Amino acid sequence: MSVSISMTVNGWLHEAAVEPRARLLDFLREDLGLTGTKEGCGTGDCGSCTVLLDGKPVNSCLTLAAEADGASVTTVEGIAADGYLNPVQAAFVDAGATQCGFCTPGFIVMATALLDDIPNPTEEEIRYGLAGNLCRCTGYDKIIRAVQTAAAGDSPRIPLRPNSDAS
Amino acid sequence: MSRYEYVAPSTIDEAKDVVAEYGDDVTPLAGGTDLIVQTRERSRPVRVLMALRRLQALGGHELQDGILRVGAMASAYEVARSPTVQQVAAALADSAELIGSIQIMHRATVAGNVCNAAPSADTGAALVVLDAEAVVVGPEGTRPIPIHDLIQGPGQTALAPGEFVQDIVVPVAPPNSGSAYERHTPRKEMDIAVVGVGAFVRLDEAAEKIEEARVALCAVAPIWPRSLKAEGAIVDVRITSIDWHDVGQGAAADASPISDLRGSASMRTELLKVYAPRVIKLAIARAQQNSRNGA
Repeated sequence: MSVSISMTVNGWLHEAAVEPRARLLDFLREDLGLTGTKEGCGTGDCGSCTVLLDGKPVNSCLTLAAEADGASVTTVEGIAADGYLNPVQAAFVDAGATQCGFCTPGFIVMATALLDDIPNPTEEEIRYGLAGNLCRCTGYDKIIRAVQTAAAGDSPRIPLRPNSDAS
Repeated sequence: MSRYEYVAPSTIDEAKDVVAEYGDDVTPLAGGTDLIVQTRERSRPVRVLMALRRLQALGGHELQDGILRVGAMASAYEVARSPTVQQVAAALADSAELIGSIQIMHRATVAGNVCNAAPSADTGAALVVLDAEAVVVGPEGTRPIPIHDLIQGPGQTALAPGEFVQDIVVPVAPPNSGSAYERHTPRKEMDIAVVGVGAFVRLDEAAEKIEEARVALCAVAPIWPRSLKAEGAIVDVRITSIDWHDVGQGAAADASPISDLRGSASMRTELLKVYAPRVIKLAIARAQQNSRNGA
């Protein structure tokens, strides 16, 4: 028997019927086509599936879609604002804090939540805050530097659509 | 992948009706960070998942009449970062901070951590030393179960079919007391205890002698056992006269560790000899601080 749910995703209200076993991750990727949210481990270890659930970072692989009924969800697709990449995204681009890019959406969402919580984190606080996100390419240093850049307010302004001048 | 039904009652009475209808088939769902994985890996058969998230009575935490009430749906993050919990039940705040990543902490609950009944559950040993109880709702009504008795073995609890935890209640620490929980893990974060120790101490008025103590062990037995030998080595002893070697030996003697992928039994035994004194010293330091502050 399916479960009726209603949730706001990146500002858009969605109403749907989902299987009880469908995870929020499945709903976002398969029903809504929001494939920015990745499935890495599927067991809450890697953080690739991190989204904001009512503003709080969670693993969407450990959250049933039915459990997000009535909630507001933000995925990496909805984290930019006002036509520009958000400061964390822009800092990642600037620092080259990505390689294969698979873990990047999870890092972006988690780092954004981290800076909301602690606007001027120490390096240790950044590493602790991002401990639930795994990257097998970068060695983490560029990721940490990017978050520090974003925290310092030194991120470049990067328009969401490179070919249009949002300024 | 297993198929199951999902129901989300909005009152305790509705939840009781769900239990009355489906009986033993009901599995309560709190944060789900263990349960969802278990259902997907089919290590835990589930027929009816009863979500507790809409039960207002199970949310949040509050201090009232000398009791700290932690609702079954209060997240590990909420509990760990609460100044109230840090003040009146420091060992619980310590242990909740150790549950998984920040993402996990936002979903996972203390009640779920306890009911998952892993011998390595950090909050278990912390709640044992704090003398906490789970207030359990079931078809027969409401009853308290001391956390020490809630875990019966790995993955096994004293909950009867259809029962679920409503709150965890913790007596507020008396004056001149302090508590702490620490564990050993190879990584600082995102790891599971190889050895954990919780400690509670209450000092005399001069804050020089231990009058009461509870020490509990984590990940070194099928449950979260008290270490009466470690407690015996510190109760009625002046802090400056404690034989810390005896304390460590006592904790090790009360453990029955196994060897697994996280560590050998002998390594766990040696680690206990280090961690039991370390955590008790931290509890004493906090008790002395509270004593100076008149708390």
